[in-house]
Amino acid sequence: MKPPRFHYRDPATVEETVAILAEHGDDAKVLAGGQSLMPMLSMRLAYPEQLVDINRVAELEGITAHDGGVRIGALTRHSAAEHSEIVARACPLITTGMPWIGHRAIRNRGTIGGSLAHADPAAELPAIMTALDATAIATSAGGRREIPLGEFFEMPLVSVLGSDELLTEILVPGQPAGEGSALVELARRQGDFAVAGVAATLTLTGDGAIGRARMVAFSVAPVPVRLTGPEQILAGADPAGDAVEEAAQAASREISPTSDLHGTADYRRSVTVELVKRAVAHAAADARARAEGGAR
Amino acid sequence: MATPAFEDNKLVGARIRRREDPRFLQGRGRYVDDLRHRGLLHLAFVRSEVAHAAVRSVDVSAARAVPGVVGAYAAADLARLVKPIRAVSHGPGYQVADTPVLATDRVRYVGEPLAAVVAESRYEAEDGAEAVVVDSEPLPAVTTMEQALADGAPAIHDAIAGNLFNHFELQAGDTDAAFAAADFVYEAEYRAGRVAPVALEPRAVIAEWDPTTEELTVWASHQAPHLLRTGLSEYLTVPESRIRVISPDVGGGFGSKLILYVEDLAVAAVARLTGSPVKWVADRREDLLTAMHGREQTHTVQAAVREDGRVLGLRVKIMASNGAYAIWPMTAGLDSGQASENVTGPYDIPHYDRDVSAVVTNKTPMGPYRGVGRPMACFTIERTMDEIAARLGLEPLEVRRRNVIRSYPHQTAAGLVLESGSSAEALDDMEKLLDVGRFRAEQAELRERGVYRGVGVAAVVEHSALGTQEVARKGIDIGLGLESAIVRAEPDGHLTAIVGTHSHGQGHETTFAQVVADEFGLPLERVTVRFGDTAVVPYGLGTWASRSLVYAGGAAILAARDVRDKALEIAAHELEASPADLEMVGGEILVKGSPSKKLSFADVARIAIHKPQRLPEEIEPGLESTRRYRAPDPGSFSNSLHGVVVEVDVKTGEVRLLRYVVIEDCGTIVNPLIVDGQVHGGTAQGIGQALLEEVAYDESGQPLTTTFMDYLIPGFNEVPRMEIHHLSSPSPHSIGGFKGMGEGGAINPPAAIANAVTDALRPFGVRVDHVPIARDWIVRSVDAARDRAGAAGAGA
Amino acid sequence: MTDVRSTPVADPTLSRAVSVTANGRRYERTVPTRKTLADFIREDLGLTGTHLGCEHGVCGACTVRLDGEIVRSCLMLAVQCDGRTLQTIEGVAPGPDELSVVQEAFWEKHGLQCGFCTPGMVLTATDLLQRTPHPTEAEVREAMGGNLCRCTGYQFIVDAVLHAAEAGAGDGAAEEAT
Repeated sequence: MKPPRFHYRDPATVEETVAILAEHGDDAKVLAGGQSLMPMLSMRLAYPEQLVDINRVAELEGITAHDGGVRIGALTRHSAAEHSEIVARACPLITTGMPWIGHRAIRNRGTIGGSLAHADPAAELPAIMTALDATAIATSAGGRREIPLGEFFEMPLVSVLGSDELLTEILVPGQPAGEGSALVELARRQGDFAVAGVAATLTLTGDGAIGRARMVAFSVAPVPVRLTGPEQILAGADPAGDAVEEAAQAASREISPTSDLHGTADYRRSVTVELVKRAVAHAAADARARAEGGAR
Repeated sequence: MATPAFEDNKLVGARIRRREDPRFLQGRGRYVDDLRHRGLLHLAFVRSEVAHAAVRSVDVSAARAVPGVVGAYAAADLARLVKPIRAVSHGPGYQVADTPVLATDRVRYVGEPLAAVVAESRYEAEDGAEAVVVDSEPLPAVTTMEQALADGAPAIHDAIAGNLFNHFELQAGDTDAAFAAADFVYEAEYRAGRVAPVALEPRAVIAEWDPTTEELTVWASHQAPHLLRTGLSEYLTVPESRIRVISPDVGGGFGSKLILYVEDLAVAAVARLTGSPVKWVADRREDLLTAMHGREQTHTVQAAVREDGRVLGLRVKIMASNGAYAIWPMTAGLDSGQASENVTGPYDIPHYDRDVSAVVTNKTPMGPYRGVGRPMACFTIERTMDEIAARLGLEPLEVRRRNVIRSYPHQTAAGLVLESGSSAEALDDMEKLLDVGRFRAEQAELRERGVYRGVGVAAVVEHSALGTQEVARKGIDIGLGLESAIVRAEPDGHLTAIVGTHSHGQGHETTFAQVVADEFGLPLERVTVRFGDTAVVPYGLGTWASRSLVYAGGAAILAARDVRDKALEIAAHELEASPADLEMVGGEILVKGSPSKKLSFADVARIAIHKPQRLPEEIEPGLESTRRYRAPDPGSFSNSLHGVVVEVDVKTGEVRLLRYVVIEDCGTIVNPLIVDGQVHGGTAQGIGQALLEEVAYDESGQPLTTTFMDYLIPGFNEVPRMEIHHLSSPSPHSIGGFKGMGEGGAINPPAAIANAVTDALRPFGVRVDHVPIARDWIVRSVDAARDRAGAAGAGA
Repeated sequence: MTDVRSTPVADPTLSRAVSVTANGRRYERTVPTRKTLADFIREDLGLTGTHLGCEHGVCGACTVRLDGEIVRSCLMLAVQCDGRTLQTIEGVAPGPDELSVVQEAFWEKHGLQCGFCTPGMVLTATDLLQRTPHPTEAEVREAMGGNLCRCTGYQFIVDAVLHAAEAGAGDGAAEEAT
């Protein structure tokens, strides 16, 4: 289980990187944190002619406050985002979700951009960023383009990034003050990829009803699924009321799970109902806690 | 000379931390892959990617052109040096088929080696392996036992009729009469999935051939170095005296490193062809594909039951899916055979008919994984006990109480004689530990709120250290019923104990030192334990079948007593006293009653070795003994009872283990710390089998679990804290009262957890009849039960 | 072993000189660019306490610290560590005849059997206690959850980590982190 031969390139700037990508196209593969690509290389499931290691590209790393939200460099490590106060203030769903990603040794190397570009339907981060209406910035020799996360994923392990494009940063709008966040998932073991999961945010109005809910189901379709129907059902509803069951049932109709070793399609559909309910409960509890915290 | 028994055994029984640990903690362990050889070549195998195919050709020529590659070999290239493996059994109805070292005209499972490539690095060897071209024509794959036994099924081996390694029937007692006397008959079919042993260190072999001496040295991650040497000798046709097998630190075995593998032979043959040392270390994919699997069995049980819960007789049909080849030397008969011998568990069930088959399938060969057949035997009888209890409205522990063996020795229906035990006491203790009465009240209350908890128990009698005749009775062609030890006093009075077993986590460097030191009343530090090198160690059979303490401990104690007796004789001569008037206390030999007349043990050793002129004619110089020991038949029987409390989330199928209680009786305990560690580790493996682990295949025989992302062993958050309680029924016939216990923990958990989950789901009538218990199976079964129960809802 | 100084300049996309400081000692080696950090540590630095249990980032046996942070050395390339600082299991003890508090606790509590997963366990536990000197059992299990053991059933490892915490393994240890 050893990587095949490749030409190792380690550019120092985005400019150099996209030049290499422009030259080699599909023959090049970007190595970011390596937590998914390295196993694929070692198992010889990937044979890039050019392995383009972006770990020296310092401009890709870092978290800054941006327009009420955050701007996260693609090479930012999961653990940096997990422990970032800027992130915790502006986008607490990210902070909430991070511990679900692998284990600490993985998060010390894994990158935010890498997790998105890898487009694993069972991964947490694509769902989190989709729920937060984040925007990916892709850079190529020809310039930059903005891609809403909701349009970023095409199919398992495939994003809309062109072979000449590098995911350089992610812009995440800030969550409104007091918005609750939750990430719930079922994995067969702690730290494993989810068999099914839901990332959610919701605001509560003064009378305790749900204002706006955002929900994304993952590992239950080829790409993360924005649960727009359930979101509409939940808007204005009592977070402990019958609408939650209705939303959860609706969620099970918006997903398109498939069967694999870790769970059948029917199982994924059935537990998504339960996970939506848990997500609403957790996010509502979080919102209430934040409201109390804010009142202090 | 008669040996006075030592009264004050201060090391045996002590909770002593292990002497081997500092090297492991500092990263100074030496596993095979850590060894350095000048000119080492690295080998990679080309393996079959299909389960069953006719091989037309294997073309290795392109591999030879790959940079770094030194050689590439197909079957014909090795044929001159190595013969196919033939695992012979003398058991009833056994059919033998050969295992080719590299496949020739057929492949029979995914992972079967077809070619070998050696290169200057493993990276380059894998590059070369990718360049090998295999031309084959797929044949229909036989992946289930039903397919294998169906009329017109493709024959996997020409030499084996009906795809059966064996099939036999045995009757004990008068089962027909038992069934005629029964008030009811309980019937069920139970299944256990296939699992992988998963030692964390994958298999590893380095072979070096010296053409000048015609000697082969093999470093192997192996549980039984002499057994490996015998296998290498037989199939490489090199005399055993010219093969040295060194098994250094070994990163876990669990049975998977006990047998002879074709890779071992191929590596040795390639080393001979290249004249360089050659290393092969299985990567995780190879290890999951080719290290023997375990457990896959189906049992069909019929129990004749009286109204009071007594089980009068059993009829059990046992089938194991043994995969494509029989393993050497244990053969394909072991797993189903062991299951069939142990189905009656700790219960007095005198009438027992069995129908036993070992089935050939296009899967990885199956072998003796920790527990060997008995987890399924336990599952069958323990699930049966619980269902009898449910039918009669009795507590499961009560039904067991009505059937449990209460007096010893007890001969089971399968003919095993249990020498001592505490299975009955354990039932009473468990009832208190689990506080079953209170649990039932809570359970009922929680059910009202939609919370489903259950309690389950499973009892095991662990047939450890299979006796000398008993191992022979298994039909294995190689006598496995002896063990050897040398105990040697060095001139400075330190002792070296050399044993034919092998420690790969079991702590023998500590426990055997405890055992030997106590024979002399010497401190632990005075004894050094060595093993794992056939050039140093007398022929031994290694560590498996929970045999080490009984077998090697027995041999070591016999040797230690010889040395001790001889030391007393020498001291008697020096002190001009009779040996009978001497005593050995704290490393000194004293004349009883006149304590000023004494010698230290070191003085005696020095005289024996460095001052032979002072010895009388009749005493041979030196102070050491080599002893061989045949363990008492049929073996030593430990017993254990596991109790588990679970909570099942019927919406998601999650099973949480809220409590896990183990009552263990392995007779005399040498080191409680190590015993508890063995219980923990075995139980964790059993929990894995119950809830997570399964080697899955698709219908074409393609394995789906070839990485640690698919084959899931339990982690920190999947294994609960365990509460261990000890009982002690020393063996009356093993030396020291020892009983083996290394496998035990792994046997009970599938049954205990299945019982607990069934108990939790009793309101739905969902019965667990298989492991692993998948979450989606639970959800599906509960949903189906609810549908059946109609709109009212079974669980309300 | 290839001597760096005498090697003609080769294609730097295929092989490269790498300079690392491991356990306080500086090493310079030339390696193929495809070589993993784990293989580099074991073969080129001779530090064989770093073990390969799966080579795809699941088991944790190859855990080392890179610039003070735990990483899986099978999921990095050696060339990515040029100029960086490593700590492997061989560099955990304060001296050759001594054990760290964490190592001592593993010994005391029987937190190891075959020893193969142990280096990764010790490094992960050491890292945990330096960040969280007094974890709960649940925190220990969560933090150690990425390391697999097949022998111990984990209980005595958990006990060892809790014992090490009581013995002060993580107290004022921030300066030891690298």
